[in-house]
Amino acid sequence: MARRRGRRADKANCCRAPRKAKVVPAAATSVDDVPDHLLEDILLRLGPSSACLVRAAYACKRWRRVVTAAGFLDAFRALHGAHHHRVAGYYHTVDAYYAPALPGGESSVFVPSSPSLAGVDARRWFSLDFLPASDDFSWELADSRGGLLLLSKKRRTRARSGYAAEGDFFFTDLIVCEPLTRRYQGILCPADFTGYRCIGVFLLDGGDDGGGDISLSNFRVLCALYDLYWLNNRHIGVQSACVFSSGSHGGGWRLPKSAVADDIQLTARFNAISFVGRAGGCFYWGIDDDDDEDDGAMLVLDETTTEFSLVTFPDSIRENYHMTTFRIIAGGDGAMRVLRVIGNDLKVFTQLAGSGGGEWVLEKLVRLPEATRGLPGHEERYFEQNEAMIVAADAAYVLLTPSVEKTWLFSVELETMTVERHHERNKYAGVAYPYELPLLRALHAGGRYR
Amino acid sequence: MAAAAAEATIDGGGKMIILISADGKRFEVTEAVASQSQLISNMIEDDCTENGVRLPNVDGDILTMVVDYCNMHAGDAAADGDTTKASSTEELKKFDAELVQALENPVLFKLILAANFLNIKSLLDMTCQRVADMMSGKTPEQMRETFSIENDFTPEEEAAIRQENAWAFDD
Repeated sequence: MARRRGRRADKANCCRAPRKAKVVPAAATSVDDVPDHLLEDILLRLGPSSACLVRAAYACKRWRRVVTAAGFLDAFRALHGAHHHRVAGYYHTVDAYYAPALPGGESSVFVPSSPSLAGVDARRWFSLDFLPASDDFSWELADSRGGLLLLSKKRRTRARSGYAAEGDFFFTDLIVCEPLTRRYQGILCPADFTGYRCIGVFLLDGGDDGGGDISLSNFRVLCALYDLYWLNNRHIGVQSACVFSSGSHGGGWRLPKSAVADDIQLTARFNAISFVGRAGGCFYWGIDDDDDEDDGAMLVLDETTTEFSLVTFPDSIRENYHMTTFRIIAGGDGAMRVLRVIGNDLKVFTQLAGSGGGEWVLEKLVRLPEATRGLPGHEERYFEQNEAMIVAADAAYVLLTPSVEKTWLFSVELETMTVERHHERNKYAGVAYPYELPLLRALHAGGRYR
Repeated sequence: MAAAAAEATIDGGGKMIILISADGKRFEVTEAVASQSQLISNMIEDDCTENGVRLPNVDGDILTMVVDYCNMHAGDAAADGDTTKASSTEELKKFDAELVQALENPVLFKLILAANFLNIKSLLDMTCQRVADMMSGKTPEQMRETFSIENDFTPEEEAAIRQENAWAFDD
């Protein structure tokens, strides 16, 4: 007993004053003596793995306070991030039109794109295997925002031809999930809307309850619908949009008055409308009207006012508005760009400033037949008959394939217009949904205070 | 600035000044060496180093290290663009690495505080980086152990943190 006590006393001494007793006085200087601005400097150096930062934030409350202080995360991202510093990776999907489905019947695969996930087991933590499954249906990615994903229910039986079946366009049940915490919220399709066609569902930031990251308790879903009815012996489509808000107070579906566009009449052909992109708070659908060559137009839905409108683009830009040849993106500067494949050139158009929208001018161009020559697997005939098709596009890159019997994916980096074949993202012929680590919220977990 | 420092070194070091530590130890160094500290450099410009520079925040043993560091790095500015000094750059790196690696925690933090007070950016960078490297790859418990930090989260908070951030705690 006495011996044990003695040993403990020794140990305590040795902790407080290690061998270099003359260098270190009794009250040893520690990290606790380092002022906040220096602790911040140290913690900022923790990248690039965000996991390391999150772990440090939970060493003690002081460290968490420093990490969650205003400006810290921005500085951290600026220091460690590359160009698209917030994006941790992409959920890649495969469009059945271009390629066979992913192995194992998965509807998406997560590919980390930033060193912020170094040391994190992406396959394990970003898997969507926690979503309720069934033999009859699967969940397909429809949108992503921040750390959340939006998925819609799809029947497993799909047309083998690759073309989407009409049933794929009906409004279905939805799920919003957060892969990292493996939580989800199911959203039932409102009974009033069963039978409506759905041309797009989108995740939006939560209501106006003041800032904060998008989260499972703070998000909205915007659903663009159209309903068919008979008028003068013709099938007419009428647009509407409904909004789902999370939260127990005033949550649920709502149909804003402004969202019913009964002055816009559209074709009843379900596959004539294709989503071509979003920019500046608006969603755009190309309407490709076979009946009348000149009748194509762009349907626009404003996410703030939930109002629909029709726009047309100057002839220099458009031939038709189909998604294989016409895309809208928000460029690196946030401003809208139109991407077009014209005569096997990929062209980027931008609009000059001016009241009521200035002139559209060509900003960048790359000649695809020449630029892809020499890439592995390239064949001269790829671009001889038809124009290349846009498979997917986002602010950073465009994924394309020649219009031949097999899909041969390559991507064009929009900043540099460099053409690449060997890239992880070129393995998946479909939309890639960017995913951001919900870092700020992660840092506030377990006792919320600022 | 860099050019002025270089000239001073080539001249044979220029004027000497005396640094006085908290415990009264005196260090005689050239102005070129001392002015790597922005604090002292400002004092030299203001002509108030005549009677020695008292550094009440810095103990003698820490100031010994700082002066060693500054002596080693005094050639830095002069070496800029001079390829013949490439090997000495290597030596410096080695010296720096050995300096910070050998330090026990209390000394490392004292050195950080001294570098901050004296405003020697390169030394501050190096020592802060060393602490960050020590945190890297550790769990919160290991960090607490390494730096003798008290865990002031309640068990409930810890549980919630672990649950919500399982991805980051994966080990």
